[in-house]
Amino acid sequence: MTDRILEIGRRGLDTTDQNVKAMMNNIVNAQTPGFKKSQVQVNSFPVMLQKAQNKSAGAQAMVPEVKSVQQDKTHGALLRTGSPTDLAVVGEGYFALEGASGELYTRDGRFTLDENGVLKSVSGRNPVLGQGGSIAVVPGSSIEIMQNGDIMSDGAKIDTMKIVVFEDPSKLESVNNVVFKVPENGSLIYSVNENPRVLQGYIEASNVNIMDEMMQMIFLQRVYGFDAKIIQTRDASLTRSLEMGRPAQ
Amino acid sequence: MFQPLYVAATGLNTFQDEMIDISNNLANAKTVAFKKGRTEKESLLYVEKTFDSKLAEAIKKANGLSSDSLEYGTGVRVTSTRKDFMQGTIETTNQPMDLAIQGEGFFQLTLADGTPAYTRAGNFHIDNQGNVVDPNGRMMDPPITIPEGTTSVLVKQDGTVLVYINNSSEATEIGQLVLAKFPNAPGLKSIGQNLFAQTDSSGEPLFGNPTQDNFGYIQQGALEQSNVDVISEMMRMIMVQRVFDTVTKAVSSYEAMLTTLERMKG
Repeated sequence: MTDRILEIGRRGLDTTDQNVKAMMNNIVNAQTPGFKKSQVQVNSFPVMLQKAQNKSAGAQAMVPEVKSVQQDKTHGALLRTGSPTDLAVVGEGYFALEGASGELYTRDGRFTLDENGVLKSVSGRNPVLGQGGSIAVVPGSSIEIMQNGDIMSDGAKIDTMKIVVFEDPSKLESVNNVVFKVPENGSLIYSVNENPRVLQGYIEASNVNIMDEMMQMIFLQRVYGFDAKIIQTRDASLTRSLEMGRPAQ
Repeated sequence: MFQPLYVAATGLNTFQDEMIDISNNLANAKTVAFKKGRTEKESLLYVEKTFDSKLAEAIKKANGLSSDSLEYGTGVRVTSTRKDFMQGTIETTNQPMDLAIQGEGFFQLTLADGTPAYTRAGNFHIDNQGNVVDPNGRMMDPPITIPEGTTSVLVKQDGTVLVYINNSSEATEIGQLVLAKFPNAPGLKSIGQNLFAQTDSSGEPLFGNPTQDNFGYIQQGALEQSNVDVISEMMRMIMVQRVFDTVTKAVSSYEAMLTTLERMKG
């Protein structure tokens, strides 16, 4: 026999636990440029009620469940660094990177030039894409990115930054909350922004707000306590009902 | 189980590394031609899906429900500590052997074992044999030797070294300074004493005379100062400390939750 109230309590604890996982990762990445915070989507009581009503009675316990984990795609603040290979997209759009299997998208514009003059992501793994493929300057020459995304090297235009705009960025699949990809078998409408606005010498900060996370922390700790109380109370009442059948001593 | 604690640990480690970087920058705020370090952080990849979450997804799919991702990040790490080669301010010293580079180049020096090293610190001296050396006695490459009886030395913007011997009014050219630059200067390895060494990531050095391309020009009687901005380093320190504190708070909060769990069965 599965006791439904115990089950609600257990799923409540589980849901809170998953929230803590997301929260902890958000906090430690409060200083990671281009980071987009994770948010746990939990199906609320009304949604569960509706589900239960549509199915035969008792088919589904009205327990909270984690629906999905999504990233809040709001933009972080722009920070000035002054480094020529630090870029930030102003407004909508993502930088395109070359991944092992298809393009990757990010708003983390901390790029570097490698030993061959190729512009790469901060980890050095992925070349940054221009509208004509990966971007390379003659080793040792300067690189300058104009506000309209044109890439100049020693005074000559070599390419334009590829800034991709998505119709619904929430459908992007997260690789590590900084880099995103188009989901497998997913159809995402996107276009290359012909008139991007790029700022050289700036990076985009993490969109995690430490104060929000602190509030979330207090809230989660309380909810966890309530969920535990549900189980304790139910446990006590079950004990009582067992004692009821026992002969008086 | 306990995954949040592991995530917190990656954060605490990273912030500690960043604190070391900030302290090093602050300690070198007055070091000639010091280039500040930048701690590049990277959020960690998701863990491989567990059997449970794969099963849950499969069941959802079979029931015609959308299988949204249920993955959580696993923390943060330092991906690199690169140098920021932004030009430092140039301060006049009026010492004839103080040379500052205004531009991207580096002076090349020869280490005791014969390997080259690169520096932007132009506080040179003349040793007892007349060689131009850095404060630790390393010779310039190509070597410059000041002849005996020299009354004054003139280094032109293009790196030509001229000397006036025995108060003569005619200058004699004795050498040419050569500068090096790199495809990816931030990839250079700092080897202490203001020196940098070439790495795979920095690429092979390119040589040229000052005033050519972007090598920069030489300013005699001046020194390049450290490019550390004390105020922004202090700001960085405050921010790192605040996040560090928040992580420790979150850890104790999680611990309290575990205690709740423990005490559930009284």
